[in-house]
Amino acid sequence: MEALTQAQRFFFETNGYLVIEDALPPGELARLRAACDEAEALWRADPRRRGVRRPDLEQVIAILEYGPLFVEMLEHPRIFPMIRELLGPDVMLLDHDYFITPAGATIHRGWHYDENFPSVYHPRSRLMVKVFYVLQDIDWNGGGTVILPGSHSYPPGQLPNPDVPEDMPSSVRMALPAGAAYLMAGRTYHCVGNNLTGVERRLLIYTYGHKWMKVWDGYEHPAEVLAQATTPMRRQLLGMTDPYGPNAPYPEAAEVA
Amino acid sequence: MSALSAAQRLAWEAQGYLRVEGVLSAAGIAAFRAAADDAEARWRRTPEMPGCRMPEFEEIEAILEYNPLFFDLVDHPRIFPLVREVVGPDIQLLDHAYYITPPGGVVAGTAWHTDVGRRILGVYHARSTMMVRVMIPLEDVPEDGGATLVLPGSHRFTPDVPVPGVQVPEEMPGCVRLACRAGDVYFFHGNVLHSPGNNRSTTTRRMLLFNYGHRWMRMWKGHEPSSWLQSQAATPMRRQLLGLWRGYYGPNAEPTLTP
Repeated sequence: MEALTQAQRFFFETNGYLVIEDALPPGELARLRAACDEAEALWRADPRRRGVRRPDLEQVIAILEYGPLFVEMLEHPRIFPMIRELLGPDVMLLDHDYFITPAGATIHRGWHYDENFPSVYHPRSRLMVKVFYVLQDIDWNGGGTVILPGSHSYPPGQLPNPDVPEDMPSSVRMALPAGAAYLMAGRTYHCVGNNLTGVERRLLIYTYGHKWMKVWDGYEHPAEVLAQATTPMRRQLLGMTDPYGPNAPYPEAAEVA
Repeated sequence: MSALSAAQRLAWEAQGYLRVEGVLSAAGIAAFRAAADDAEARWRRTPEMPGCRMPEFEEIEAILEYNPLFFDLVDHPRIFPLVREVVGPDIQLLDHAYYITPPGGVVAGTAWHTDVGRRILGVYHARSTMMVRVMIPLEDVPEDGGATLVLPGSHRFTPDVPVPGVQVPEEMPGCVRLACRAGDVYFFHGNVLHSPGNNRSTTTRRMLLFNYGHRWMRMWKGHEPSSWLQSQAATPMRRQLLGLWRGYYGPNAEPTLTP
Protein backbone atom coordinates (compact mmCIF):
# COMPACT_ATOMS: atom_id res chain seq x y z
CA MET A 1 0.00 0.00 0.00
CA GLU A 2 1.23 3.46 -0.80
CA ALA A 3 1.84 6.00 1.94
CA LEU A 4 0.82 8.98 -0.16
CA THR A 5 -2.67 9.22 -1.55
CA GLN A 6 -2.93 9.75 -5.28
CA ALA A 7 -3.93 13.36 -4.64
CA GLN A 8 -0.96 13.95 -2.33
CA ARG A 9 1.46 12.42 -4.81
CA PHE A 10 0.04 14.49 -7.64
CA PHE A 11 0.28 17.65 -5.56
CA PHE A 12 3.90 17.00 -4.57
CA GLU A 13 4.99 16.11 -8.09
CA THR A 14 3.31 19.23 -9.44
CA ASN A 15 4.29 21.73 -6.75
CA GLY A 16 7.42 20.36 -5.07
CA TYR A 17 5.89 20.49 -1.59
CA LEU A 18 3.04 19.00 0.41
CA VAL A 19 1.26 20.02 3.60
CA ILE A 20 0.00 17.44 6.10
CA GLU A 21 -2.19 19.46 8.43
CA ASP A 22 -2.69 16.91 11.20
CA ALA A 23 0.69 15.21 11.26
CA LEU A 24 1.12 15.44 15.04
CA PRO A 25 -1.81 14.74 17.37
CA PRO A 26 -2.01 17.07 20.41
CA GLY A 27 -0.31 14.70 22.85
CA GLU A 28 2.58 14.03 20.51
CA LEU A 29 2.91 17.72 19.73
CA ALA A 30 3.10 18.51 23.45
CA ARG A 31 5.80 15.91 24.07
CA LEU A 32 7.81 17.12 21.12
CA ARG A 33 7.49 20.74 22.11
CA ALA A 34 8.61 19.90 25.66
CA ALA A 35 11.64 18.05 24.29
CA CYS A 36 12.47 21.03 22.09
CA ASP A 37 12.15 23.43 25.01
CA GLU A 38 14.56 21.28 26.98
CA ALA A 39 16.99 21.14 24.05
CA GLU A 40 16.76 24.89 23.62
CA ALA A 41 17.53 25.46 27.29
CA LEU A 42 20.62 23.24 27.08
CA TRP A 43 21.73 24.99 23.92
CA ARG A 44 21.29 28.49 25.35
CA ALA A 45 23.12 27.54 28.52
CA ASP A 46 26.20 26.40 26.64
CA PRO A 47 27.45 28.64 23.81
CA ARG A 48 29.90 25.93 22.78
CA ARG A 49 27.02 23.84 21.49
CA ARG A 50 26.81 24.03 17.74
CA GLY A 51 24.27 26.32 16.19
CA VAL A 52 23.45 29.61 14.58
CA ARG A 53 22.95 32.51 16.99
CA ARG A 54 21.81 35.51 14.98
CA PRO A 55 19.12 38.08 15.60
CA ASP A 56 17.19 36.81 12.57
CA LEU A 57 17.71 33.06 13.14
CA GLU A 58 18.52 30.66 15.91
CA GLN A 59 19.36 27.13 14.86
CA VAL A 60 20.04 24.28 17.22
CA ILE A 61 22.23 22.09 15.03
CA ALA A 62 22.09 18.28 15.23
CA ILE A 63 18.92 18.00 17.26
CA LEU A 64 19.23 14.19 17.40
CA GLU A 65 21.92 14.70 20.01
CA TYR A 66 19.40 16.21 22.43
CA GLY A 67 17.27 13.18 23.21
CA PRO A 68 15.83 9.87 22.03
CA LEU A 69 12.51 11.39 20.98
CA PHE A 70 14.28 13.20 18.17
CA VAL A 71 15.75 9.90 16.97
CA GLU A 72 12.33 8.27 17.08
CA MET A 73 10.98 11.10 14.91
CA LEU A 74 13.23 9.85 12.11
CA GLU A 75 10.75 7.09 11.45
CA HIS A 76 7.57 8.94 12.29
CA PRO A 77 4.83 6.48 11.32
CA ARG A 78 2.75 9.06 9.44
CA ILE A 79 5.47 11.03 7.75
CA PHE A 80 8.45 8.77 7.16
CA PRO A 81 6.65 6.36 4.81
CA MET A 82 5.78 9.34 2.64
CA ILE A 83 9.38 10.50 2.55
CA ARG A 84 10.62 7.03 1.74
CA GLU A 85 8.11 6.82 -1.05
CA LEU A 86 9.24 10.15 -2.51
CA LEU A 87 12.97 9.46 -2.24
CA GLY A 88 13.19 5.71 -2.59
CA PRO A 89 14.22 2.73 -0.48
CA ASP A 90 17.79 4.05 -0.12
CA VAL A 91 16.63 6.99 2.03
CA MET A 92 19.14 8.36 4.55
CA LEU A 93 19.21 11.35 6.91
CA LEU A 94 21.43 14.26 5.86
CA ASP A 95 20.83 16.87 8.54
CA HIS A 96 18.48 17.73 11.42
CA ASP A 97 17.84 20.96 13.29
CA TYR A 98 15.54 22.92 15.53
CA PHE A 99 14.87 26.33 13.99
CA ILE A 100 13.67 29.33 15.94
CA THR A 101 12.89 32.47 13.96
CA PRO A 102 12.68 35.30 16.47
CA ALA A 103 9.85 37.78 16.37
CA GLY A 104 10.75 40.70 14.13
CA ALA A 105 13.32 38.75 12.08
CA THR A 106 13.62 39.98 8.50
CA ILE A 107 15.30 38.30 5.55
CA HIS A 108 16.74 39.96 2.46
CA ARG A 109 17.33 38.10 -0.80
CA GLY A 110 17.20 34.74 0.91
CA TRP A 111 15.68 32.67 -1.86
CA HIS A 112 17.62 29.51 -2.58
CA TYR A 113 17.61 25.84 -3.48
CA ASP A 114 18.84 23.27 -0.98
CA GLU A 115 20.28 21.11 -3.76
CA ASN A 116 22.19 22.69 -6.58
CA PHE A 117 24.94 20.37 -7.82
CA PRO A 118 26.29 21.29 -11.26
CA SER A 119 26.75 17.65 -12.26
CA VAL A 120 23.11 16.75 -11.59
CA TYR A 121 20.18 17.54 -13.86
CA HIS A 122 17.90 18.71 -11.09
CA PRO A 123 14.59 19.25 -12.87
CA ARG A 124 14.18 15.48 -13.14
CA SER A 125 16.20 14.35 -10.13
CA ARG A 126 15.25 14.16 -6.47
CA LEU A 127 18.18 14.20 -4.10
CA MET A 128 16.58 15.58 -0.96
CA VAL A 129 13.23 15.90 0.75
CA LYS A 130 12.95 18.06 3.83
CA VAL A 131 10.24 17.70 6.45
CA PHE A 132 9.28 20.64 8.67
CA TYR A 133 7.28 19.90 11.82
CA VAL A 134 5.41 23.02 12.96
CA LEU A 135 5.62 23.30 16.75
CA GLN A 136 3.85 26.62 17.18
CA ASP A 137 1.12 28.25 15.11
CA ILE A 138 2.60 30.27 12.26
CA ASP A 139 0.63 33.36 11.38
CA TRP A 140 0.37 34.70 7.83
CA ASN A 141 3.13 37.20 8.69
CA GLY A 142 4.90 34.87 11.10
CA GLY A 143 7.99 33.97 9.11
CA GLY A 144 6.57 30.87 7.48
CA THR A 145 8.65 29.37 4.71
CA VAL A 146 7.81 30.99 1.38
CA ILE A 147 7.78 28.51 -1.49
CA LEU A 148 7.65 28.91 -5.25
CA PRO A 149 5.37 26.05 -6.35
CA GLY A 150 6.63 24.01 -9.27
CA SER A 151 10.13 25.49 -9.16
CA HIS A 152 11.64 22.04 -8.50
CA SER A 153 11.02 21.28 -12.16
CA TYR A 154 12.35 24.52 -13.61
CA PRO A 155 15.27 24.20 -16.03
CA PRO A 156 18.62 25.45 -14.73
CA GLY A 157 18.93 29.21 -14.75
CA GLN A 158 18.67 32.28 -12.62
CA LEU A 159 15.43 32.93 -10.77
CA PRO A 160 14.53 36.26 -9.19
CA ASN A 161 15.54 36.93 -5.59
CA PRO A 162 13.45 39.84 -4.37
CA ASP A 163 14.51 41.96 -1.40
CA VAL A 164 11.34 41.00 0.45
CA PRO A 165 10.75 37.22 0.33
CA GLU A 166 6.99 37.59 0.12
CA ASP A 167 7.33 39.72 -3.03
CA MET A 168 8.17 36.66 -5.12
CA PRO A 169 5.43 36.32 -7.72
CA SER A 170 3.27 33.20 -7.37
CA SER A 171 4.84 32.22 -4.06
CA VAL A 172 2.91 30.59 -1.22
CA ARG A 173 3.44 30.98 2.53
CA MET A 174 3.57 28.08 4.95
CA ALA A 175 1.25 29.71 7.49
CA LEU A 176 0.17 26.62 9.40
CA PRO A 177 -1.13 25.50 12.77
CA ALA A 178 1.03 23.71 15.31
CA GLY A 179 0.97 19.99 14.64
CA ALA A 180 1.14 20.38 10.87
CA ALA A 181 4.07 19.18 8.81
CA TYR A 182 5.16 20.08 5.32
CA LEU A 183 7.45 18.25 2.95
CA MET A 184 9.57 20.05 0.39
CA ALA A 185 11.78 18.79 -2.43
CA GLY A 186 15.40 19.90 -2.12
CA ARG A 187 15.14 21.56 -5.50
CA THR A 188 12.11 23.66 -4.63
CA TYR A 189 13.03 27.33 -4.57
CA HIS A 190 12.20 28.74 -1.14
CA CYS A 191 13.00 31.34 1.49
CA VAL A 192 12.41 32.01 5.16
CA GLY A 193 9.67 34.60 5.46
CA ASN A 194 9.78 37.83 7.44
CA ASN A 195 8.43 37.35 10.93
CA LEU A 196 6.41 40.50 11.46
CA THR A 197 4.53 39.08 14.43
CA GLY A 198 5.44 39.05 18.09
CA VAL A 199 5.70 35.26 18.16
CA GLU A 200 8.71 33.07 17.45
CA ARG A 201 8.46 30.55 14.65
CA ARG A 202 9.48 27.08 15.86
CA LEU A 203 10.21 24.26 13.45
CA LEU A 204 11.81 20.86 13.76
CA ILE A 205 13.53 20.03 10.48
CA TYR A 206 14.89 16.77 9.08
CA THR A 207 16.51 16.61 5.65
CA TYR A 208 16.51 13.20 4.01
CA GLY A 209 18.59 12.18 1.02
CA HIS A 210 20.06 8.95 -0.32
CA LYS A 211 22.47 6.61 1.39
CA TRP A 212 25.10 7.11 -1.30
CA MET A 213 25.31 10.76 -0.20
CA LYS A 214 27.45 12.01 2.66
CA VAL A 215 25.90 13.34 5.83
CA TRP A 216 25.90 17.13 5.77
CA ASP A 217 29.13 18.68 7.06
CA GLY A 218 29.06 18.95 10.85
CA TYR A 219 26.26 16.43 11.31
CA GLU A 220 28.36 13.28 11.61
CA HIS A 221 26.63 11.29 14.32
CA PRO A 222 28.31 10.74 17.69
CA ALA A 223 28.42 7.29 19.26
CA GLU A 224 25.49 7.95 21.59
CA VAL A 225 23.22 8.64 18.62
CA LEU A 226 24.49 5.67 16.65
CA ALA A 227 23.80 3.47 19.66
CA GLN A 228 20.10 4.22 19.17
CA ALA A 229 20.08 2.64 15.72
CA THR A 230 18.06 -0.35 16.83
CA THR A 231 16.41 -1.22 13.51
CA PRO A 232 17.85 -1.88 10.04
CA MET A 233 16.15 1.25 8.75
CA ARG A 234 17.60 3.38 11.51
CA ARG A 235 21.04 2.01 10.72
CA GLN A 236 20.52 3.06 7.12
CA LEU A 237 19.09 6.44 8.09
CA LEU A 238 22.14 7.14 10.25
CA GLY A 239 24.58 6.15 7.51
CA MET A 240 25.73 2.90 9.07
CA THR A 241 25.08 0.63 6.08
CA ASP A 242 26.81 -0.03 2.77
CA PRO A 243 26.22 3.12 0.67
CA TYR A 244 25.97 1.13 -2.55
CA GLY A 245 24.66 -2.16 -1.19
CA PRO A 246 21.17 -3.49 -0.49
CA ASN A 247 18.59 -1.21 1.10
CA ALA A 248 17.17 -1.79 4.55
CA PRO A 249 13.86 -3.64 4.66
CA TYR A 250 10.98 -1.53 5.76
CA PRO A 251 7.34 -2.43 6.47
CA GLU A 252 4.65 -1.19 4.17
CA ALA A 253 2.77 1.86 5.43
CA ALA A 254 -0.33 -0.21 6.12
CA GLU A 255 1.60 -2.49 8.49
CA VAL A 256 3.04 0.44 10.42
CA ALA A 257 -0.17 2.36 10.90
CA MET B 1 41.43 26.75 -20.61
CA SER B 2 39.81 23.44 -21.40
CA ALA B 3 41.80 20.27 -20.77
CA LEU B 4 39.77 18.42 -23.38
CA SER B 5 40.31 19.30 -27.00
CA ALA B 6 37.20 20.22 -28.99
CA ALA B 7 37.32 16.79 -30.64
CA GLN B 8 37.63 15.03 -27.29
CA ARG B 9 34.75 17.04 -25.85
CA LEU B 10 32.53 16.19 -28.79
CA ALA B 11 33.46 12.50 -28.60
CA TRP B 12 32.80 12.44 -24.88
CA GLU B 13 29.42 14.13 -25.15
CA ALA B 14 28.35 11.93 -28.05
CA GLN B 15 29.78 8.58 -27.03
CA GLY B 16 30.19 8.70 -23.25
CA TYR B 17 33.71 7.36 -23.33
CA LEU B 18 37.14 8.51 -24.41
CA ARG B 19 40.41 6.82 -25.25
CA VAL B 20 43.80 8.44 -24.81
CA GLU B 21 46.70 6.58 -26.36
CA GLY B 22 50.26 6.42 -25.17
CA VAL B 23 49.77 8.02 -21.79
CA LEU B 24 52.42 6.00 -20.00
CA SER B 25 55.98 5.57 -21.20
CA ALA B 26 57.60 2.14 -21.38
CA ALA B 27 59.43 2.89 -18.15
CA GLY B 28 56.19 4.01 -16.53
CA ILE B 29 54.37 0.87 -17.60
CA ALA B 30 57.19 -1.26 -16.18
CA ALA B 31 57.14 0.58 -12.87
CA PHE B 32 53.37 0.31 -12.44
CA ARG B 33 53.40 -3.30 -13.55
CA ALA B 34 56.08 -4.10 -10.97
CA ALA B 35 54.00 -2.40 -8.28
CA ALA B 36 50.91 -4.31 -9.43
CA ASP B 37 52.82 -7.61 -9.41
CA ASP B 38 53.97 -6.89 -5.89
CA ALA B 39 50.41 -6.05 -4.81
CA GLU B 40 49.12 -9.20 -6.45
CA ALA B 41 51.69 -11.35 -4.65
CA ARG B 42 50.76 -9.84 -1.28
CA TRP B 43 47.07 -10.26 -1.99
CA ARG B 44 47.50 -13.93 -2.94
CA ARG B 45 49.52 -14.58 0.20
CA THR B 46 46.87 -12.99 2.38
CA PRO B 47 43.38 -14.37 1.70
CA GLU B 48 41.73 -11.96 4.14
CA MET B 49 42.74 -8.98 1.99
CA PRO B 50 39.60 -7.68 0.29
CA GLY B 51 38.74 -8.64 -3.23
CA CYS B 52 37.07 -11.08 -5.55
CA ARG B 53 38.63 -14.53 -5.98
CA MET B 54 36.93 -16.42 -8.78
CA PRO B 55 38.74 -18.56 -11.36
CA GLU B 56 37.50 -16.40 -14.23
CA PHE B 57 37.96 -13.04 -12.53
CA GLU B 58 40.07 -11.64 -9.73
CA GLU B 59 39.78 -8.17 -8.26
CA ILE B 60 42.17 -6.66 -5.77
CA GLU B 61 40.08 -4.03 -4.03
CA ALA B 62 41.45 -0.72 -2.82
CA ILE B 63 44.65 -0.96 -4.83
CA LEU B 64 45.89 2.42 -3.56
CA GLU B 65 46.49 0.76 -0.19
CA TYR B 66 49.27 -1.36 -1.68
CA ASN B 67 51.80 1.12 -3.02
CA PRO B 68 52.19 4.91 -3.01
CA LEU B 69 53.15 4.76 -6.67
CA PHE B 70 49.53 4.16 -7.66
CA PHE B 71 48.61 7.61 -6.40
CA ASP B 72 50.58 9.01 -9.33
CA LEU B 73 47.93 7.56 -11.60
CA VAL B 74 45.02 9.05 -9.66
CA ASP B 75 46.11 12.60 -10.47
CA HIS B 76 48.21 11.85 -13.53
CA PRO B 77 48.88 15.09 -15.41
CA ARG B 78 47.75 13.72 -18.77
CA ILE B 79 44.55 12.11 -17.54
CA PHE B 80 43.32 13.75 -14.38
CA PRO B 81 42.62 17.18 -15.93
CA LEU B 82 40.41 15.50 -18.50
CA VAL B 83 38.52 13.51 -15.90
CA ARG B 84 38.19 16.51 -13.60
CA GLU B 85 36.71 18.48 -16.44
CA VAL B 86 33.98 15.93 -17.15
CA VAL B 87 33.22 15.18 -13.49
CA GLY B 88 33.60 18.70 -12.13
CA PRO B 89 35.88 20.46 -9.65
CA ASP B 90 34.23 18.65 -6.71
CA ILE B 91 35.78 15.38 -7.91
CA GLN B 92 36.55 12.61 -5.43
CA LEU B 93 37.56 8.96 -5.73
CA LEU B 94 34.83 6.43 -4.93
CA ASP B 95 36.68 3.16 -5.44
CA HIS B 96 39.83 1.73 -6.98
CA ALA B 97 40.96 -1.74 -7.87
CA TYR B 98 43.21 -4.00 -9.91
CA TYR B 99 41.37 -6.39 -12.24
CA ILE B 100 42.91 -9.65 -13.39
CA THR B 101 40.97 -11.59 -16.03
CA PRO B 102 42.63 -14.86 -17.04
CA PRO B 103 41.85 -16.43 -20.42
CA GLY B 104 39.06 -18.95 -20.70
CA GLY B 105 36.38 -17.48 -18.47
CA VAL B 106 32.85 -17.25 -19.82
CA VAL B 107 30.96 -13.96 -19.56
CA ALA B 108 27.22 -14.09 -20.23
CA GLY B 109 25.21 -11.46 -22.07
CA THR B 110 23.55 -10.49 -18.81
CA ALA B 111 26.82 -8.82 -17.77
CA TRP B 112 25.78 -5.60 -19.53
CA HIS B 113 25.13 -2.90 -16.94
CA THR B 114 25.70 0.71 -15.98
CA ASP B 115 27.68 1.69 -12.90
CA VAL B 116 25.05 4.09 -11.63
CA GLY B 117 21.73 2.51 -12.58
CA ARG B 118 21.04 0.38 -9.53
CA ARG B 119 23.29 2.16 -7.09
CA ILE B 120 22.54 5.85 -7.48
CA LEU B 121 18.82 6.33 -7.01
CA GLY B 122 17.13 9.71 -7.31
CA VAL B 123 19.24 11.06 -10.17
CA TYR B 124 18.18 11.55 -13.79
CA HIS B 125 21.29 9.94 -15.21
CA ALA B 126 20.62 10.69 -18.85
CA ARG B 127 21.63 14.30 -18.21
CA SER B 128 23.81 13.99 -15.13
CA THR B 129 27.39 12.86 -14.50
CA MET B 130 27.69 11.04 -11.22
CA MET B 131 30.65 8.74 -11.91
CA VAL B 132 33.48 8.41 -14.40
CA ARG B 133 35.57 5.27 -14.39
CA VAL B 134 39.18 5.35 -15.58
CA MET B 135 40.75 2.11 -16.85
CA ILE B 136 44.49 1.71 -17.23
CA PRO B 137 45.70 -1.49 -18.92
CA LEU B 138 49.06 -2.85 -17.81
CA GLU B 139 49.13 -5.41 -20.65
CA ASP B 140 48.01 -5.10 -24.24
CA VAL B 141 44.34 -6.09 -24.50
CA PRO B 142 43.35 -7.40 -27.95
CA GLU B 143 39.73 -7.33 -29.09
CA ASP B 144 39.20 -10.93 -28.02
CA GLY B 145 41.26 -10.54 -24.87
CA GLY B 146 38.47 -9.51 -22.51
CA ALA B 147 38.38 -5.94 -23.77
CA THR B 148 35.69 -3.82 -22.15
CA LEU B 149 32.63 -3.50 -24.36
CA VAL B 150 30.74 -0.21 -24.38
CA LEU B 151 27.55 0.87 -26.09
CA PRO B 152 28.38 4.35 -27.43
CA GLY B 153 25.85 7.04 -26.60
CA SER B 154 24.03 4.94 -24.02
CA HIS B 155 24.98 7.38 -21.26
CA ARG B 156 22.09 9.50 -22.54
CA PHE B 157 19.60 6.63 -22.38
CA THR B 158 16.54 7.19 -20.24
CA PRO B 159 15.47 4.24 -18.09
CA ASP B 160 12.71 3.32 -20.51
CA VAL B 161 15.04 2.67 -23.47
CA PRO B 162 14.79 -1.06 -24.21
CA VAL B 163 18.13 -2.84 -24.28
CA PRO B 164 18.20 -6.09 -26.24
CA GLY B 165 19.01 -9.29 -24.41
CA VAL B 166 22.02 -11.15 -25.81
CA GLN B 167 23.59 -14.52 -25.16
CA VAL B 168 27.15 -13.23 -24.98
CA PRO B 169 28.23 -9.64 -24.45
CA GLU B 170 29.87 -9.33 -27.85
CA GLU B 171 26.46 -9.79 -29.55
CA MET B 172 25.13 -6.44 -28.34
CA PRO B 173 24.22 -4.44 -31.46
CA GLY B 174 26.37 -1.36 -31.93
CA CYS B 175 28.83 -2.14 -29.17
CA VAL B 176 32.50 -1.22 -29.37
CA ARG B 177 35.36 -3.33 -28.02
CA LEU B 178 37.91 -1.18 -26.25
CA ALA B 179 41.03 -3.02 -27.36
CA CYS B 180 44.05 -1.14 -26.10
CA ARG B 181 47.78 -1.16 -25.56
CA ALA B 182 49.54 -1.11 -22.23
CA GLY B 183 50.04 2.56 -21.43
CA ASP B 184 46.81 3.69 -23.06
CA VAL B 185 43.99 4.96 -20.88
CA TYR B 186 40.24 5.02 -21.42
CA PHE B 187 37.44 6.32 -19.28
CA PHE B 188 33.68 6.16 -19.47
CA HIS B 189 30.57 7.79 -18.03
CA GLY B 190 28.88 5.94 -15.18
CA ASN B 191 25.65 5.69 -17.16
CA VAL B 192 27.27 4.05 -20.19
CA LEU B 193 26.14 0.50 -20.75
CA HIS B 194 29.21 -1.69 -20.65
CA SER B 195 30.30 -5.25 -20.08
CA PRO B 196 33.49 -7.19 -19.68
CA GLY B 197 34.30 -9.10 -22.83
CA ASN B 198 35.21 -12.76 -23.03
CA ASN B 199 38.92 -13.35 -22.84
CA ARG B 200 39.53 -15.81 -25.66
CA SER B 201 43.18 -14.85 -26.04
CA THR B 202 46.10 -16.51 -24.34
CA THR B 203 46.97 -13.46 -22.24
CA THR B 204 45.67 -12.42 -18.84
CA ARG B 205 43.98 -9.04 -18.93
CA ARG B 206 45.45 -6.73 -16.28
CA MET B 207 43.74 -3.46 -15.61
CA LEU B 208 43.91 -0.77 -12.95
CA LEU B 209 40.70 1.13 -12.40
CA PHE B 210 39.88 4.34 -10.61
CA ASN B 211 36.25 5.35 -10.22
CA TYR B 212 35.62 9.05 -9.64
CA GLY B 213 32.51 10.78 -8.32
CA HIS B 214 31.86 13.88 -6.24
CA ARG B 215 33.08 14.93 -2.82
CA TRP B 216 29.52 14.88 -1.45
CA MET B 217 29.21 11.18 -2.26
CA ARG B 218 30.20 8.39 0.08
CA MET B 219 33.14 6.14 -0.72
CA TRP B 220 32.57 2.59 -1.81
CA LYS B 221 32.42 0.27 1.19
CA GLY B 222 35.93 -0.85 2.10
CA HIS B 223 37.59 2.09 0.35
CA GLU B 224 37.71 4.47 3.27
CA PRO B 225 41.43 5.37 3.27
CA SER B 226 43.63 3.84 5.93
CA SER B 227 45.77 6.14 8.07
CA TRP B 228 48.73 5.12 5.93
CA LEU B 229 46.95 6.11 2.72
CA GLN B 230 45.76 9.35 4.28
CA SER B 231 49.40 10.17 5.05
CA GLN B 232 50.16 9.89 1.32
CA ALA B 233 47.71 12.67 0.46
CA ALA B 234 50.30 15.40 0.27
CA THR B 235 48.28 17.96 -1.71
CA PRO B 236 44.85 19.51 -1.18
CA MET B 237 43.58 17.78 -4.30
CA ARG B 238 44.78 14.41 -3.08
CA ARG B 239 43.03 15.06 0.22
CA GLN B 240 39.83 15.88 -1.65
CA LEU B 241 40.24 12.79 -3.82
CA LEU B 242 40.47 10.59 -0.72
CA GLY B 243 37.38 12.14 0.83
CA LEU B 244 39.38 14.09 3.43
CA TRP B 245 37.62 17.31 2.44
CA ARG B 246 34.33 18.86 3.38
CA GLY B 247 31.44 17.22 1.59
CA TYR B 248 29.17 20.11 0.79
CA TYR B 249 30.52 23.42 2.05
CA GLY B 250 33.53 25.45 1.12
CA PRO B 251 35.66 25.64 -2.00
CA ASN B 252 36.94 22.71 -3.97
CA ALA B 253 40.61 21.85 -3.85
CA GLU B 254 42.67 23.41 -6.57
CA PRO B 255 44.51 20.92 -8.74
CA THR B 256 48.17 20.41 -7.94
CA LEU B 257 49.54 18.31 -10.71
CA THR B 258 52.64 16.22 -10.58
CA PRO B 259 55.04 17.65 -13.16
